[in-house]
Amino acid sequence: MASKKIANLMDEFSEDIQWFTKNYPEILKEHNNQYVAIKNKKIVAANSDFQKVMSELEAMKIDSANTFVRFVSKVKMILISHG
Amino acid sequence: MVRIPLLITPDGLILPVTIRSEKYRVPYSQVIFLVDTGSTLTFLSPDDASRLHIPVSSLMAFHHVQVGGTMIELSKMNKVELILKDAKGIIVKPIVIEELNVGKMVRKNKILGVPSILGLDFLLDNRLSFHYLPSEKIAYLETE
Repeated sequence: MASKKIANLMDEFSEDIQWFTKNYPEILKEHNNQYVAIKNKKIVAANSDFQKVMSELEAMKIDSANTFVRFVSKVKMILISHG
Repeated sequence: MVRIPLLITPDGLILPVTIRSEKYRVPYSQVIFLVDTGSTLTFLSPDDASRLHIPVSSLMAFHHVQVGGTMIELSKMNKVELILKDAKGIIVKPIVIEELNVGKMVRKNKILGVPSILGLDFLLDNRLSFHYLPSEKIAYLETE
């Protein structure tokens, strides 16, 4: 794949992350405890079940591997990882 | 020195990367890693593994970790290519990770939304320093 195409994919993804960040309060209000999938600065799927979001993307022929998907919750997670 | 910008999001400081693996048939795919210097390990979350169609069940588990109160089984993917952009938006030389940890949930009472983690091992292996200037809202990694 040409580096220009990779750069475009990265740019689109970053724009979706920025859109998510900018609209986070509204997204949280509407989709608390759900996974939201964002593509081209739009929420294209949302569900509390991750696999259902994946199925919705597949049904819409949206490539999940290049789609921004985040779990949003009013309950903040503190990550403590240890092996 | 190359500066790799991090994004400041409600989830924390994140590094967006393009990931690819010929061996596991993962085409150029987008992932965000949460930068967590409290974690010694870098790993791809179970959700991201699923989103990228990584055949986790065919990978041999080697380790278990507790993340946010849930148990995750880690397997390894060999030779995974990570593509990053510098502060000018130019793609830098890809980083090849010899062994990338990939997570799989092992308990039914799993915690939702565990992110992919960029831990200290990634910074050490790639000689990256971590910078965060909260008052200027700037965060980045930099090569030594």
